[in-house]
Amino acid sequence: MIPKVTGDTVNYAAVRKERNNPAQQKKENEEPKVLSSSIKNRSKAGFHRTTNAFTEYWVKGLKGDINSNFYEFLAMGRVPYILGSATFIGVFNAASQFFDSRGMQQSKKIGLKLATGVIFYALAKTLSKDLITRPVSWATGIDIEQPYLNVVYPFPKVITRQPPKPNDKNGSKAPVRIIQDLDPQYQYQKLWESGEFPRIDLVKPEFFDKVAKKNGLGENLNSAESEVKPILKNVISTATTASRISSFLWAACGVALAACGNWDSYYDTYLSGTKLGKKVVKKDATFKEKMGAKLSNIWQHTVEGTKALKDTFKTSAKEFYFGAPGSKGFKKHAGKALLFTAAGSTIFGVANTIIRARNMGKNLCDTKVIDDSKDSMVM
Amino acid sequence: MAISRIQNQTPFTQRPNVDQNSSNVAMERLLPLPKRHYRNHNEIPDSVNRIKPEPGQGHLLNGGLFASIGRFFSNRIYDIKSVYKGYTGTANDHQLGRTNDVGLVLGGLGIASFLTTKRIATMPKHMEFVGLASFLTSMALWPKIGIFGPARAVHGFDADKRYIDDQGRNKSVFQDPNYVPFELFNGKKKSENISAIADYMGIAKDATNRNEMAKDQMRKIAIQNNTLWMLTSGVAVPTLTALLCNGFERVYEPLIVKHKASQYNKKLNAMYNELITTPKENNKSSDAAKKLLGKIMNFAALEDSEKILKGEDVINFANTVAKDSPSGISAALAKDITAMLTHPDKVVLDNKYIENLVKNIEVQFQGHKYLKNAIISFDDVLNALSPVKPQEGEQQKFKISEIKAAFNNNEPITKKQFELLLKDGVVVDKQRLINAVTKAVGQKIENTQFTNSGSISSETVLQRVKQMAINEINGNNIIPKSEKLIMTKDAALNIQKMAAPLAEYITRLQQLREINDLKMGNIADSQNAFFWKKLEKTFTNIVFPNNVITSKSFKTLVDNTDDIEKAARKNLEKLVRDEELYKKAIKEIDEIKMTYLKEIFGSNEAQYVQYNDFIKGSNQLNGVNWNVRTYGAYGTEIDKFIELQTKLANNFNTNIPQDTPFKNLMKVLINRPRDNAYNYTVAYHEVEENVKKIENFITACDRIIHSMDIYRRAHLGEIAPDKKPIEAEMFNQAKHNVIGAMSTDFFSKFNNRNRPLVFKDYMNLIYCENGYLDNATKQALQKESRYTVEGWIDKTRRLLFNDHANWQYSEFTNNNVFLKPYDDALLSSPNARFRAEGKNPVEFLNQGIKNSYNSNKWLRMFGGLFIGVFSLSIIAQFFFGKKDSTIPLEKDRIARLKQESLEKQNTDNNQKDLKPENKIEEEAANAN
Repeated sequence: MIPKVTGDTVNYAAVRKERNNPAQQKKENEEPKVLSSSIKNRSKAGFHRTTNAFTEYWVKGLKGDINSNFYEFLAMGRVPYILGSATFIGVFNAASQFFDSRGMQQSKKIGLKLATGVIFYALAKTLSKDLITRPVSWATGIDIEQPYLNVVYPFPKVITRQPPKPNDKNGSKAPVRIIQDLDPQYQYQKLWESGEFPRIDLVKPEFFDKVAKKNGLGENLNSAESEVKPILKNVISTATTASRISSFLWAACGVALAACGNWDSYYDTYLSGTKLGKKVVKKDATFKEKMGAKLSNIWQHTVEGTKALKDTFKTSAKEFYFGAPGSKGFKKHAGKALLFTAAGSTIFGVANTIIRARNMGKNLCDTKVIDDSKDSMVM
Repeated sequence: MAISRIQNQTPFTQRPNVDQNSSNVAMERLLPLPKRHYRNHNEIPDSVNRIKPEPGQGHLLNGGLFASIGRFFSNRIYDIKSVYKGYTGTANDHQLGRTNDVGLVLGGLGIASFLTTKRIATMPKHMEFVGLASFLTSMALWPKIGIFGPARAVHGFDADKRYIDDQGRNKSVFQDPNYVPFELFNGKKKSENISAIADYMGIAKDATNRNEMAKDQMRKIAIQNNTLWMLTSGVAVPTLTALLCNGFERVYEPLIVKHKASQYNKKLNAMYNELITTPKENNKSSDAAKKLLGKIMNFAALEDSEKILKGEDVINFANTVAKDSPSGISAALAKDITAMLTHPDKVVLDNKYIENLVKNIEVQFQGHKYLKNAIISFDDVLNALSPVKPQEGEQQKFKISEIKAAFNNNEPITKKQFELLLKDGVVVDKQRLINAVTKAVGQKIENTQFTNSGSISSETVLQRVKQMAINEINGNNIIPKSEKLIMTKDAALNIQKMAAPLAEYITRLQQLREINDLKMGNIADSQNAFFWKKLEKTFTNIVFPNNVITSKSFKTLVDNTDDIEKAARKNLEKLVRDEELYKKAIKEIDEIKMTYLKEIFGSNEAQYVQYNDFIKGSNQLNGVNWNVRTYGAYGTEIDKFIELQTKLANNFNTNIPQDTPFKNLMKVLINRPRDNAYNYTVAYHEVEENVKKIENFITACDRIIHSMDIYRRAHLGEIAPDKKPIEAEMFNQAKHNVIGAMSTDFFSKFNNRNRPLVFKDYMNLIYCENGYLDNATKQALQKESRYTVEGWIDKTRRLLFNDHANWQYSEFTNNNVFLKPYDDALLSSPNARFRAEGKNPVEFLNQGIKNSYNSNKWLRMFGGLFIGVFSLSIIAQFFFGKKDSTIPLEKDRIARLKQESLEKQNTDNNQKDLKPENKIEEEAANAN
């Protein structure tokens, strides 16, 4: 992958000059940075991945850039979801013009239903992850969602410049190739994404002491890192599995919720703006009056819309949990069953993770040969 | 090799602790090795053997249908194992990655299962799961057919190549461009030979580092294709899913309709055997009936004292008991129970009741000269009912039964106890309440000062006012009606007596209805609905063949019946010119009609005759006045159906005592002569509906056949040598009427109400007596079908044009001759008219155009989108893998070689050519 520059003239002077630039040097010395696991940081990470997937990564990928990497491929993994949802919703809404009035209504209805389903799916899937990761983080000290800002130094860019046309006919110069350093790339990674290669190099030693203490390994250990490592690996495996499985089940609950109640009519009424306020202004009203009426109408619309949103959510949640009125058997209890499955998978996932971690801590403690509280030396 | 195989599928491009890992491995090597390393050696191996790694196990995977199917299943097992390992904390990164896919499928199954509860018909229910399967298939299929397949054809290698690594994990070769295991391309096969791939790419054979160049190209192309995959999936996968579902639906629908029909026969026969062929003596009630019975018994639980119920309690109860059963049962039940629980001598006292009472007194007494002083308050009523004693003092009783007993014995109770009593309500004799009110009012009156008026003493005035008050109380609705009901022991016993037969009957009715819905239900995949769809589609295709309806003409045609009629008329006129085409069209409609009858009635010979009789029966004009028992002898399944319903009704009837208080319920449940045409009894509800549905379909078919026959006859009249102008004019009118006439047009005798003679001629031509059909039509129709068409024509004729009845003058016209619209009072119902006249063919076409246009439009839209994405991704391949200018090309090398050989040849030739010249010169010189 090293750019092939042999045989050509390299403008090393330019390279050297560039590299001596203090700003450039500062860039080259950047290190990966652990970020706090706040909602702000996590949404920032998600936003960064998504926007870059839509703006930068796909361009690099289509060019076949050597710096296009697996992180970018994974980040682009969300493109189909967003594009696919948009396509489907778009098709159903755009298609409505081809049909007669009834078909148009139906098409719009399907489109709106789909939109609701997609929104609820995404919301439920994202938010439900915290149901696993937060309790696990409190109990074991390991937050599998903990992000860090990774810095990647890309391969330099090789620019080929044709030489200026030689004045004398005797000698012609080969094209000049300039190696240009590229700015470092930032990636929002998760510290504990991999169980085989956890980024223990990035965390402070206090982290291991905390995890050791929380999982019953004791305090003031001589080599907390090596003792905590198996627990860390275990928690990464159990918590990740639990969050993957349960988040899809919660997402299913989201879609089911969107299928209950009258979401399409809610959207139809309040998002298309057909039900704006009722205040009518006379034609000869002053500007102030007109604006006042308009603002009051918008306010009224917002208030009514919010109230209707609340009501729609309530009825839909009711229908989801208790079944549609008059239903029985599976029809009546399907929502409940789905909800309890999702909740059950969450509770099981959390309990499984915490209990396993604690047990491991206890076992490690019991089978310990060397007393950590004393200085010891292996001969 | 084994050491270098430490790699993963994580997104890390930088692995700072790789060194650490390799040092770990080095450390491990110093420890005693596991036993298996010695198994092939007799002696302890030397150090070279000890540090020599085992040969790599990794290898590329090759396609082949069976191998890939096998791998599909083993991969799914691996996925499930991964989840297990994930939960036990021992999963590696690759396995953790697989848990995501398991989650996706689980979530998808959850969604599909839930959404089935929102679908009524079986087909859409199944389609939820088909949708999930199609989605998963599309996700797997799209990269194969849309991305990597074309890429392979263009670039000569599989960018989706998979391999098994040393740990046996199935991975994609090019997924992580920073780690591509090129060493696995060992050249044993052509597809694994880098050099062969380089040949395909056209890299010069003499290039230095040729394989490295090819690898870089492969990496580049793979990155480009992976990106293209991600970019196109969003559009391609959903559209492909929609297309797959659509294709599947077309194949699946007839199958499911057939399955449901066979289920209908099976279930109906089972029930028939259970109840009629081999009835058991003590017919044990079904589970559902037992459940229902439990509900009824709970409601009518026997208690020593009276139980107070709200009005809505009874309605709720009736609704739960009669849920899903034919309308009317629950209302009748509620009515009966309410009547039973409304006691004439007793009322239920509660806060609201007393408030109403006080309010009534206030309203009545307000404007009265003397009585206005006698208005009493809430507390006055309480005091008069039962002496209220002060709160303080002795210990209070708070047990409701004790308070009740005290209240009933007229013992004084405290205010707080009274409040407690009124909270749930208390039953009291009406007379006691009236007495109490009278007493309270009397006290008020006594406290009032009456002045002497004339000769009458104040004492007499007092007495008279008192009497006045008593009269008011007794006469003027001052005592309100009790809103709450009282469940007494008698009522409870009555409900209990009724419970078992009612539960059994309702449950059986429900079962019967479910069975009926399989075949005749108003849902998308019942046999009945399926045939309507088929008829609509076929007829639309006959009139508008081969996608005549374009997007443009659709816009102008749809919902515009006039234009549809014009277009249909034009097309039909064209169609009837060709006798063979015409016959074919008639045969198609006929086929649907006869198959419908066969499917609905059953398929053996005896049944065939029976349905023929059935149809003949329905041709009687009075057949519209459906007396279902007339058809008891016909059909097979229908026959059983009727028998079952009769049996159930009779069972119910014999189990209920004659003097039952459930008068309304009995009216609804037991089949008995109808009060009037619109009041159906429940017992035959389904059968009546079914018979109507069958007639609806048959008349629709008959009207279509008759319409086409009229067009044919009009055409024959035109080409006939003795052309009759009047007849032609009538046919011209008929062409509109047969396909476009609405119910109102039939009603107005096609605007001929004041032209009886013209109408008579018209009827004799178009709707002939005993039916008249063109020969070609007769030949095309099956025999039985011909009878029904002729019968229908005859029936319509008599409906519109009855010699005996319809030639009467309308009442409100004295001078003009007006035909009466319909003679039969029963035909005033729109549904009955619809059944008699048949569905308007233009309406039919309107619906058909809409449906076919809509489904084609969707197909075109999704198909277009998919084809668009597909072509784009194929075109994209030709822009991928552009070679760097530093890569020497084979064609250049060949050109160069050719050039060189040409040059060489030229020089050789020159030398050869030169020689003779020299020779000549030499010779010339010698000669000289």
